[in-house]
Amino acid sequence: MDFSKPLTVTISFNSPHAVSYRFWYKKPGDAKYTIFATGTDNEYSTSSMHSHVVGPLPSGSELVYLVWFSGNEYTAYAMELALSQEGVLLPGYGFSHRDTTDSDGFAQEKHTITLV
Amino acid sequence: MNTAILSRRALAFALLLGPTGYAAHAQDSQAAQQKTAPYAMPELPAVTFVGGQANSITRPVTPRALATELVNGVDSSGRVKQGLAVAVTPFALSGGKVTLTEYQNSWFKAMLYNAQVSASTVRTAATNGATDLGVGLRLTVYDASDPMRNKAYTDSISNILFTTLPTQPDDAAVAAAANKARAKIVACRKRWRKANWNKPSFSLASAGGWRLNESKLIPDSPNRWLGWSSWASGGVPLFGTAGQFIGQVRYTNQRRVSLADRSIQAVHQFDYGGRLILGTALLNFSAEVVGVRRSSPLPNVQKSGAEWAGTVEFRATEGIWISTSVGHKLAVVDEATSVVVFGGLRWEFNTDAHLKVGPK
Repeated sequence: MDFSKPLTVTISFNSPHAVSYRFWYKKPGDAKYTIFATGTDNEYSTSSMHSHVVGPLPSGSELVYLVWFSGNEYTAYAMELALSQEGVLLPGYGFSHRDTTDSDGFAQEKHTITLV
Repeated sequence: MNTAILSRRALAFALLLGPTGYAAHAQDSQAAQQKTAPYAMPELPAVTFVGGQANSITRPVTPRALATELVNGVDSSGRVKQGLAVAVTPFALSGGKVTLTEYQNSWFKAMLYNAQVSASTVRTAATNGATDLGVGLRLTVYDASDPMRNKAYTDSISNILFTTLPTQPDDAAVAAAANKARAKIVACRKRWRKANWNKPSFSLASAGGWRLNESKLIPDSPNRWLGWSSWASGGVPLFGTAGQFIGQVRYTNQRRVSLADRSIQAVHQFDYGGRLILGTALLNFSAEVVGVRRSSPLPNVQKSGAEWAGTVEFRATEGIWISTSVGHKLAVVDEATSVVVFGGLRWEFNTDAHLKVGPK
């Protein structure tokens, strides 16, 4: 990872659910997280893939992604998220999440990535 | 005309003595649930086939999770554990991808995504520690009452999610916002389903089963195959959102082993049912029929027959519903219901409508 260059965060959804998500970052020494992207499954350019650029961010920064899914009860959802720089995927920064919604058809994925 | 307010026991006695009338309670009682069961496609055909209880269902979504479930389903001595219920969606399990747009625009992709395979085990009454293992498949071929296939609905849900996201990602803020979003979504879905509860739908299901002596999968043994069942169920709307007709057929092919000479006989059974329900703010109506034909009925069991029931209820005034039912079979009556019998017809006075016309 080149900390002098911006990061591209790409997220895609592969299941029939209504989705909204939000991304935050926090640089070392920051007291609070800063929102850098918010979206829904409706705002995409190709298929269900969404890309957002952030940074450059220094080493030790944190990225948080929160994704909410809403669909039918006990249905399988799937999402993938990857970090890239200048179009090249960063090894070790690809994430895949699969699970099922609960009895209300709701599910949440919230994760923190530390950039090192 | 003999008129009396009767308790449940007295009512049953009176109806048994009565000349013609048989009560059939339409909803909200155990008997009613059993009565309406033929019109509902089994959620897990495997569980229904072996007669188990789907109290705790596991739903693995990855091959690894499924493998773990299967390994955990067998004990150290190779015996299948009893009371298991597993449901998987093969499309998701295999890594298949269906976006929301594809789901809404292609009934075929929606059917693939919703296809479900289930497995279930249940203890049998046999003395050798046998377990019945069932495996089933369910296909929702078409379902216009599925809110996720409606773009206006999913757009409104996306908007709820979008506007409820927290500003900070700490756990407390996220949990509070999630609860708020969940409550709004549940209310939104309830409204949508109320307006679309009776949209057309059609589903297919099939299940088969084996009896495992001593609950062991291995070694194989003769006569383990129990048979199979297939269901087809569909519903169509009537009079806008006021009513619905649901029909279902079920075919069952089972093997019966004679205790006397161990001979095997194939037994066929065909069940059918139809239910019509109409409702307004002041008047509700329900009619249903259930029938069966058997190739080789057991002693004292009819080869074929049908039951039917009809109920009409109307709101006399605020908080008082009066209903009357007539049918071919006596059903259980609620403990809390006050009942008046007029010459064989049962009349009830309730504070709420029994016939809940609308989403389940």
